[in-house]
Amino acid sequence: MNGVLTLAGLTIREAMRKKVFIASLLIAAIFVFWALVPMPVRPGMMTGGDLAHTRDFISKLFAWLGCGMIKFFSSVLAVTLAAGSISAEVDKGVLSVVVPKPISRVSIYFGKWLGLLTILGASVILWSTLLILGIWHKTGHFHPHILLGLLATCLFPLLFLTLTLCFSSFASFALSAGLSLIAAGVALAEDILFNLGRMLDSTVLDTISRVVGYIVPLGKMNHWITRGLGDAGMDMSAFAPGRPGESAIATNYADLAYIIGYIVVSTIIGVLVFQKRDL
Amino acid sequence: MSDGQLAISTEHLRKEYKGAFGKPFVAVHDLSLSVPRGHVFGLLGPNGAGKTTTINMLLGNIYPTGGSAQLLGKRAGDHSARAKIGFLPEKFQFHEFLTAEEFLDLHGKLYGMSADARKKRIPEVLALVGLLDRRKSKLKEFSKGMQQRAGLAQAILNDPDLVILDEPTSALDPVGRRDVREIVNHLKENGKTVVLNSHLLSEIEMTCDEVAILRGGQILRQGKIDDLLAAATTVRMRVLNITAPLIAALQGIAVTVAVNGEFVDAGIRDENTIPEIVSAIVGTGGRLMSLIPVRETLEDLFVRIIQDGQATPPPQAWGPPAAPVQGGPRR
Repeated sequence: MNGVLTLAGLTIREAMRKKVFIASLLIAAIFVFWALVPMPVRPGMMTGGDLAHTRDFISKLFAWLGCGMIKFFSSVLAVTLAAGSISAEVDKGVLSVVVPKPISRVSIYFGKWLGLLTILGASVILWSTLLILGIWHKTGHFHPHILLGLLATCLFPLLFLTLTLCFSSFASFALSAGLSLIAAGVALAEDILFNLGRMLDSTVLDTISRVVGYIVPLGKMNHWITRGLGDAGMDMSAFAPGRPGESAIATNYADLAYIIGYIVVSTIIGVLVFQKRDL
Repeated sequence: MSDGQLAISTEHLRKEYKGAFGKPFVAVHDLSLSVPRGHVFGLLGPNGAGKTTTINMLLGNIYPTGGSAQLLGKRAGDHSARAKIGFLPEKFQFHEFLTAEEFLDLHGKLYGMSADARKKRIPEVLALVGLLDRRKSKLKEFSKGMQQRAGLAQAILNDPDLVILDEPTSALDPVGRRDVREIVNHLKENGKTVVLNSHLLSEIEMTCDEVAILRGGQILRQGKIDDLLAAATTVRMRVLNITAPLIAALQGIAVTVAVNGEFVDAGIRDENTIPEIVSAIVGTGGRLMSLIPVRETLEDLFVRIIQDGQATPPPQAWGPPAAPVQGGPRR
């Protein structure tokens, strides 16, 4: 365990050296800027809405938008940090003095994973805090569901970190980042195909959409964010006409278990590949 | 020699890579190596001989395709053995954003050393490699040679029983090389085993007790340096009045004979042959003006073995003692 923590600390220091915190602070500045932009909430902004109603609506809207922003930025940061993080060190020869030490390759892998996760976690906490403060500053409302939404949002950086690190165990920076982007692209197709399938009443598209949802479960994660946000949640698939007896936004614990299983399996594959590869 | 007495023992170690179009490339071929404890052992070989691959297989950086290896009596990869091994790679690249002290502290932690042990040991090794006054400097501010010194400090930080140094002097100036030699001698005096992989044969000759010469992933020759070098010597002579009967007489005694003008090099099996050579020259009318016995250097031996390329050459074989060979003096 000491080896894992030592290497996690080293990974954090390396990220600091690469000025990752500047990227994180720049994104934080977006939230600060947004919070400070004058945008008074007035009665009558919404048709038929009094001030309290308007504030409530705006706070939910900002919660939804903010979770989307955090989801996007944290995923990009995760891919940027994890891409090539193992293969680059192998190529440079840095790991050739670490691997012969009395620590396992599993520890090295988890040390890196934990270090990167800490950086991502710190960034997400910072952005989330600024988001909540920003919403409160603008509307005077604290929408409690945002916490659950943000919690579900954390699945995104966790998945992209794990997936990209897994790719990095065998692929270069460019390739591992590229593979992760392809995975994200594939996942984007899920909701599009789902909606198309419903509009065209095509079971083939519907089936493809479901399969895509299992290849990269971003859609399922999105649904969990929506569920977490409660009535502030907005999901494109919610607007699709549902079939009788079917909910458009289907979240269940089996899906959550699948997401967690997906992350665990990605980690195991990454560890196995790293364990078997020559340095 | 039992496994317990050996620092390194490999049996039929093999590494095969998949080459272009699936054609396999064998980097290390059936390597069986025994390195006794307390010795300074040199791994020699031309580029691509498989030295670094062998070292990396021993350390777990590369997985062997076949065979087995033991380090300090335990299978390669065993953590308790790794805790007693130090390693400096050939292509070293460290975390350059760390200071020398932080770098060693990191590796001390990875070795599982306690905070107290690290605090005591780090200044010691920094002083040993001459970097104590630069302990607060970042590695990126170091020259390549200084980084190599820091790497050496890392390799001996845990007071290892086995130190593997892959080209440890490649970036060092003559003073640095001498320092490394002194460190290696210091390790040897303390009963440590050192494996040196170096192209600098003079360094190896000065430092090592035993060497193995590799080519094409195979050991061509292994043994104590004194034994290997005592095996063959040359006498260099300046002779006047060289005649065909004189050369024929020399060929009957020496292993090889090379004539260039009035200079004659004769390869001999042992020094007892020298009086016979002198008698043969005088007896056939030659005038011996000078005779210098020249011991073969490690470089000579290395080049000869590599050029012969025999995995198991007959001892002391220099080539056919046939017709005189025209050529310049060997040095």
